[in-house]
Amino acid sequence: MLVKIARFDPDTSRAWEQEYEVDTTKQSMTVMDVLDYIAKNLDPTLAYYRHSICNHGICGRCVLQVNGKTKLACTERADGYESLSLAPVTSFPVVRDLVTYNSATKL
Amino acid sequence: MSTRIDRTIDTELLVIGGSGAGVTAAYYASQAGTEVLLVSKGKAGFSGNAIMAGGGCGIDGESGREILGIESADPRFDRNKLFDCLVKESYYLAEQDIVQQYVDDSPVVLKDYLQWAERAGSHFVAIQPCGWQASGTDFAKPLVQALKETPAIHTLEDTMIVDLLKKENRIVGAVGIHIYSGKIIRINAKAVVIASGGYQLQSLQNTVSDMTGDGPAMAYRAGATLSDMEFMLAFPTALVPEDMRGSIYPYLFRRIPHRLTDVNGDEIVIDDDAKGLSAESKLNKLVNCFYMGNAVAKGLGGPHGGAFWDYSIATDEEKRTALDQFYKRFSKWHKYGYYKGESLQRVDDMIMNNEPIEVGLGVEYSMGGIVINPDMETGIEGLYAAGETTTGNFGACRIGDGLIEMLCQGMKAGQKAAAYCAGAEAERADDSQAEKIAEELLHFFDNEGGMNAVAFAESITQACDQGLKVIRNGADIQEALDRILALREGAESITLKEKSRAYNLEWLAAVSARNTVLCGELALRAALERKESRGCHIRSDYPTVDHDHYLFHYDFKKTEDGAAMSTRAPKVTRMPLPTGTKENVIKYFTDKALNYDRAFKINFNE
Repeated sequence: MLVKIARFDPDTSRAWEQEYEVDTTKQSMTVMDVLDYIAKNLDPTLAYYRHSICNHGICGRCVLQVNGKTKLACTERADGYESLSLAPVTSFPVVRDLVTYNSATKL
Repeated sequence: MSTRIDRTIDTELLVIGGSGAGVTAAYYASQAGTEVLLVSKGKAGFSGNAIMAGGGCGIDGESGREILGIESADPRFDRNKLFDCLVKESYYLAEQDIVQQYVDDSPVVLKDYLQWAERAGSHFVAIQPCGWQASGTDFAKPLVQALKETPAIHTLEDTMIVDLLKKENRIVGAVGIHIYSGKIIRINAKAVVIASGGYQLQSLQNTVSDMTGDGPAMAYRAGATLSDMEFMLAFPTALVPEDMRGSIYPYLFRRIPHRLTDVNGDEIVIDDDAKGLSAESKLNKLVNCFYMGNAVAKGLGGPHGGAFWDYSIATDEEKRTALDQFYKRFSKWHKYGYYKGESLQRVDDMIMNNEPIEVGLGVEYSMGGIVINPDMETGIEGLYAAGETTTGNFGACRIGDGLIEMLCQGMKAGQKAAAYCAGAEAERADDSQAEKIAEELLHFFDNEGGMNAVAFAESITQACDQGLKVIRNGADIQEALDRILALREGAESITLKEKSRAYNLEWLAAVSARNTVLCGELALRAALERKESRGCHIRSDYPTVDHDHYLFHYDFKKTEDGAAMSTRAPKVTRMPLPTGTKENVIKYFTDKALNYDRAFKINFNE
């Protein structure tokens, strides 16, 4: 499956789209599983919400846009899509790639 | 002078961890007039493993009636019985003075907790003899409520504390990374409470992610003693559908009649007396580990490494009724037909179609951790610890409640740390110490040619999967230990491809790897030495529970030559330690001479 990811580097303010090819036919995968696959096998530099996650749709912090709609990466199944286009949500500033700063904590 | 520290915060008490132990420690210290900063890796009050809880928790019925005024509490399960059960469930490895603190202080902290729960709108269902069933999020909402009602507590979220700061032999702060910005934060404090949870090292987990043993590892590096590291609790956890891996739906569906089968479809026979244990209490976790784990250890596991639950022995009507009852009951907390945020439709189909479901044993809780006394002191001045990050309360096997432990230990740690702060002068660690910690964090960005951080973390997990299986054996433990020790050599040369500090998962993996490598090493070393089975440490090559030779803790302390191991007998206050041997961990419980009676029957059909 073709996976297109909106990327952003805060240090240079460069924004680009990167494409990955992920085999989603071997097992059923969520969008989080797809991102994990990319990080482990294709590109460890990818930033997506992954710290202290519940992975079962209750902490609600792994929110992102999947083909233009706001979803949780951990419960959104990839099987239903022909290709994936992943982008950060637009309601908060982007920290890097798919990660937005949605916490009230300021530093 | 140039510095690597991006921000410095001064406070009186630093509490590390944003789940129940951290929030209660912060709350009671704040109530005592201490200035508190709570630092959480996730969202304060909603971080850590409490949100993943799937069952209930409770205290003794006598205290429930007398202290909490709960009319429905059953006083026949009294304080003495709870104490008796906890010690026996620990395979006599619990520290009896710490168990006493759990029994005595639980109803006290619950007085406040239940009020927060009421104001937070948590939905609790009463269970016998004196307990509460709810979803993990409903157990966490009261913690968020407590923080909301106590604005004096400062919070810093999404921050991983990495190492403690010392002034001579006293803990006076810590250094961490703010995950979003990548900034290095220094915190100066009079005292520190570590309440950051345990270590889940294996790949199949039903906890939140990133339980990388930060608390035990930073305490160890500061000179504290770690113990009981080989004991980890596991229970039936989803392997399929693969996208639901880690869900605990199998455990929740355990009361729908089923039989265990292996990869060939042959029944895994559970002995009748063990079945009795399983039906009546939370011991079903241990029973499942023993029988499912043994089948897998014999090479009879399925393609995902689990055993199978075959529901075909129940009629369609039985299954439909049970599933619908479950959905109805759980719709108090989750969308109907869902568990947490996941639809159960495909699982429902498999059960109704008599399709055997492959189920694994996922880790939930680590019994080992930082050695404490009943005042939550670690033996290092200014350093306290509470909750899963500690050891002593549950010994070799936790049947009692982690949720209760986090609350009563958090309360005690907060009170004791506040009293300490009131009488202590503020002292600062030398700047060079904080700079050194920061340098150790930042050097990863300059490394070249080492292993990639994500791959490194994966290698640690694989080694722990081999050596720290539910049913273990000496050869695998040794091989896994060799792998971990080889990895340890490469830990400092881990290389990051991404050079931005902002939300850098490679960097977090590299920093966490130091902690998981340490916890893995100590767990494997203790598991190798413990040539017997006890609680959640079950060895196929040494199945016997051997009280005569192994009724002690394996302690670890940092020395110049690495972690020094020693043994220590459990503290006895009331119940003398047993002698002799038992054939295996199940026979230990079914032995009538143990006189074990939890009488903790959960009525699921209220």
